[in-house]
Amino acid sequence: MSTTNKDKILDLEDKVMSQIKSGHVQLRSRLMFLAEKLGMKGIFLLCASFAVIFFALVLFYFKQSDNLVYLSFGSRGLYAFLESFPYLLVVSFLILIFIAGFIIRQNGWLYKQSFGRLAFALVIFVVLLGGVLALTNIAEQIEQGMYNSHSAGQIIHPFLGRGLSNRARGLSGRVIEVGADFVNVQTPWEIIRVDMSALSLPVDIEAGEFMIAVGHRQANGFVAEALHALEEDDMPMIGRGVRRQFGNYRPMVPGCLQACFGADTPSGTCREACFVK
Amino acid sequence: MTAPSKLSDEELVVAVREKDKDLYAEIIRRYQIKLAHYLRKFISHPDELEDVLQEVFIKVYRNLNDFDISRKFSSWIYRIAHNEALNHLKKYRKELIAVDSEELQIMDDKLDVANIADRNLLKIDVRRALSMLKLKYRDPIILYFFEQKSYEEISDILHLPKNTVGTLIARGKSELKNFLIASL
Repeated sequence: MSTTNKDKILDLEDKVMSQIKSGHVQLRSRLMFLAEKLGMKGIFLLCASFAVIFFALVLFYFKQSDNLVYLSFGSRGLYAFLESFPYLLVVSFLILIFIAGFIIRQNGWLYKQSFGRLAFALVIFVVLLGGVLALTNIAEQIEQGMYNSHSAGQIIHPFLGRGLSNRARGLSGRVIEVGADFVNVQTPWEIIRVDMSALSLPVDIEAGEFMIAVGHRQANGFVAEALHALEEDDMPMIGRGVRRQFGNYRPMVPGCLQACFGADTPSGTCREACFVK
Repeated sequence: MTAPSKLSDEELVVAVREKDKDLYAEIIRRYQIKLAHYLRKFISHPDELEDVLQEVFIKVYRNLNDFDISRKFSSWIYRIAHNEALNHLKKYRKELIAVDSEELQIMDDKLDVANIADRNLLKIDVRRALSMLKLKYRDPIILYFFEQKSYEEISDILHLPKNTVGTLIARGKSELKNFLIASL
């Protein structure tokens, strides 16, 4: 080894050791490392747990909302399906999975395994656990929390609230009056006239039954392109805390609702006024 | 008490952490040349190299309590050096790789590039080829050919699966060979 190199080596050693001896450079505490590791593991567990819950909520949403039912209308139901799709819920689920994977990668955990395999295992784990969770009533309890607790409701509502919102291309509710080529339907938000004149096949539906339709909205109601009746158990949203909003079926005075709507009276008031006393 | 030079790296780390911080000088002595040799593949300027090397040893000391003594210390210190080198490259510039004559011989033997008439030309080409290789191929190739690390160690340094290390080395070697043959 040349003298210059030897000098440089001693020089570097001296520089580093003088900083250590002077206390300018100190060992970071073990507790600090422990806290960092626990913190990272905590964030990972939180993300994975939320991903599991969100997946259970996605399944719950598909089961309980009108979203998948629209696909039973074939291509005509596609717009209504896309309109009612729980984008925020699914995107949040994907983001949580992504963050969990990112944490694994950034921290070099399990780096001996290929990341592709790890990511696949993570997704399978979350999906399986979420599926199992969906079999319990946890998702329903979360949804109940949405109605019962104001603060929790504000957090959860953006994710599940879409299942209850009014749709432009789809409609579901209880038939409260049957006319010549129309039905009046009670939805959780309004009473709406559904025009059935555009239906390719006639539908036999009675007052008091539940129905689902695809079509489009017009100024004076909803024009159905396809429609079918549903059993109460199959009615989307019926088990989602909105039963009361459909109300129990009571016969109505024929023609009363139409006349009432024409007078610009709110639909709820018309409904009350038109029940057979 | 056992002389510091007789202790293994891992025993030395425990001793520095629990007994005597002065023993850290032994770690510096053991790794200074090795790490300087490795870092020279990323940083050619001697002053910059010295600064980075000093930063590596300071970082290693600060984080000594984070080292898991059931693992290999050399892989851990190389990983820190590797990250520091990458930070340096990000901050400043992409540099040509410095390859010396012995290393050139290693590359020549391993790559088996036939009929090289001018060895000086090859040296320039190897430097250029290595510099042009994607980082994902260059890192394992440098560690394998020039630092003589095993696949297992490279896997620990780069935090990659062992099979991936093998694949990257094979692909990098092939790209390097193609580049050298094309430049003849």
